[in-house]
Amino acid sequence: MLELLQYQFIQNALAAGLLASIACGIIGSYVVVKRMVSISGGISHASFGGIGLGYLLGINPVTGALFFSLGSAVLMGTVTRKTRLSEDTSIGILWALGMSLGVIFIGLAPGYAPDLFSYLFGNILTVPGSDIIMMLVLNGIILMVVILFFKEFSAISFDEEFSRVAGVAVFPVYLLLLCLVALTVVVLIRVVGIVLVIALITIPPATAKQFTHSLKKMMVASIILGAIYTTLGLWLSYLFDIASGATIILVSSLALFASIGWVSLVKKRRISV
Amino acid sequence: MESIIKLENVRVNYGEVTALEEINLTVYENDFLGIIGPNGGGKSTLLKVLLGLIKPSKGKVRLFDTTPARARKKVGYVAQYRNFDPGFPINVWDVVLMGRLGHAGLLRGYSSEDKQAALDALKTVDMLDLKKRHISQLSGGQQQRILIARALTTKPGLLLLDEPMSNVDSVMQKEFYELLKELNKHMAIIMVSHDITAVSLYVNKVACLNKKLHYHGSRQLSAKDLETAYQCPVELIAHGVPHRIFKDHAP
Repeated sequence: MLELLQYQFIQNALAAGLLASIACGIIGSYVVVKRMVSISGGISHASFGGIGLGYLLGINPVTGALFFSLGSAVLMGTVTRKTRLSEDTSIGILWALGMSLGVIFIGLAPGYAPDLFSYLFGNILTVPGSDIIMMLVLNGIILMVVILFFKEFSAISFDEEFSRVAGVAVFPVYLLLLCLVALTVVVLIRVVGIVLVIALITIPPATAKQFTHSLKKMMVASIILGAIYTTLGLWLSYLFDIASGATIILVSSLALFASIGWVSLVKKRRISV
Repeated sequence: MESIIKLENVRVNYGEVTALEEINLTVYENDFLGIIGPNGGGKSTLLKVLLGLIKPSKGKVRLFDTTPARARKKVGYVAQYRNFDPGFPINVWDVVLMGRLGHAGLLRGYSSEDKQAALDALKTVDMLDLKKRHISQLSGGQQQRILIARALTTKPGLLLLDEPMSNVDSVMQKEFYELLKELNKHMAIIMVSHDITAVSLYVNKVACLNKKLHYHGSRQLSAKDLETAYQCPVELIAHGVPHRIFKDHAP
C-alpha cells in the first residue's frame, strides 16, 4: 500500500482529494444550511458549456469551466431574484442551456473529445500538476473571502429579511456566495466530475450537521469527512479498478446513510430510557 | 410629544392589486400602537413600508425625519413567523449578535461594543443564561424573546412586531406583554395582530387596517370603523370583541 505513494499520480490524486474536501467542506456547509442545492447543481451542470468551449478553443477545459460556472452563478442568482420566473424554473432552464452549449461547442471542435467522460464523472487518478495548482489557488480565494464575509454569509443564510433590515446588502452578498459555489465546482470537476459535484458538496456537510450546532464546527467536520471519503474512495477504486468519482460518491452516501441510522438509533434509545 | 413616523396618503400596489391606499398615520415617541385587521388586510405590508422594504407607489413616508431605509438603524423589527430554519446550526448568542450587522461593518468581526449591546439585550429579555443554547432547544416563547433581543441590540427608538404572539403559548403571553410594556417606556412600539382581545388589553392606541387605515390616535375605534374594515360586524361581535375598544375612558 505505502509504495503506491511513490507514484506522482497517486500523490496528485491524494492532494486533489484533500483540496476538494476543503472547498466543499466550507462552501458545502453554506449550500446545505441555506438550501442552495438545486442552484448549485445548476451552476455545476451549466459549467459543461465551458468544458465544451475549452475543447473548441484548444485551452484547458477546466479554465473554460471556471468562466462558465462564474457566469452562470451570476446569471442564475440574478434571474432567480430579479425576474418573475420562479427559482426552480430558471435554474432548470439555465442548467440545460449551459449543457446544450457544451454539446454544440464539442461538436464544432475539430477531432473528438478524448477524456470528455472524466470531466463529466471525474477521474482523480489523472489530475495533472497544473490543475493541482489551480485548485490550490481557488481554495485560497474561497478561504479568504469566507473569512472576510463570514458574518454576512452566515446572516443571509440564517435570515435574509432580517439581514436586509439590519443593513446587509443581501443581493450582492448572495451573488458573491454563489460565485464561491462556482469556484468550488471548478475545484471538484477533476475529482468527481460535473454531474457528481453536487453530491460531494452536500454529503459531508449533511453528515456533519447531525452532530453539531455550530456552523464553524460543521465546516471543519465536513472537511475531515470529505478527506476521509475521497481517500477511501480513491483507494477502493484503485483496488477494484472501478471509476474513482463514482466510488467516492458511493462511499460518502453509505457513510451518510449509516450516520443517519446511527443518530436515529441513539435518539430512540434516549427516549426509551 | 414628538412624532417619529409620518405617513401621508400612502398607496401600495402589487401589480394590479392594491394592498394599501390612502394611509395617513402619525406615531409619537411613546406610543404603543396595536394594528388589527383581517388577514390580507395589508398589516405586514404596512410594516414593510415602514422598514423601506417595500416602496409605496404613491405618498410620503418619513421616519425619524428621514427616509425609511436611512432610519432602519433606529428601528427594531421582529418578523411574522420564523423566517429561519430551526435546525440551522447557530446558538442564541450568534442570533442576537446578528442585530449588530449594520454597526459592525464589512470585513470585520463584531466589536466589544457590539458584544456588550448583545449582552444588554439578552439581559433585557431575561435570556442571558440561555445564550449558549442552540435555537432548536428553545420554546416558541423563548425564541420570540431572542428575536426581540436581536431587534433591541441597536437600541432602537421604534420596535415593529408582526404577529408576535403566533408562536407563543397562551400561558407565556401575559409575561410577554409585560415585557413589551416595560420596553415601551423607552421606545415606541407598533404591534400588528389579529388577536383583538390581547391588543385591546395592553396597547394604548388601536388602529384597524383593511387596505385603508381606521385610526383616531386613541384606543377607540367606532363600530363603524370595524364594520368597514372587517365587512362583517355581526360575526365580529359574536366573537366577543371587548367593549373597551368601542368605548373607553380616553387615554
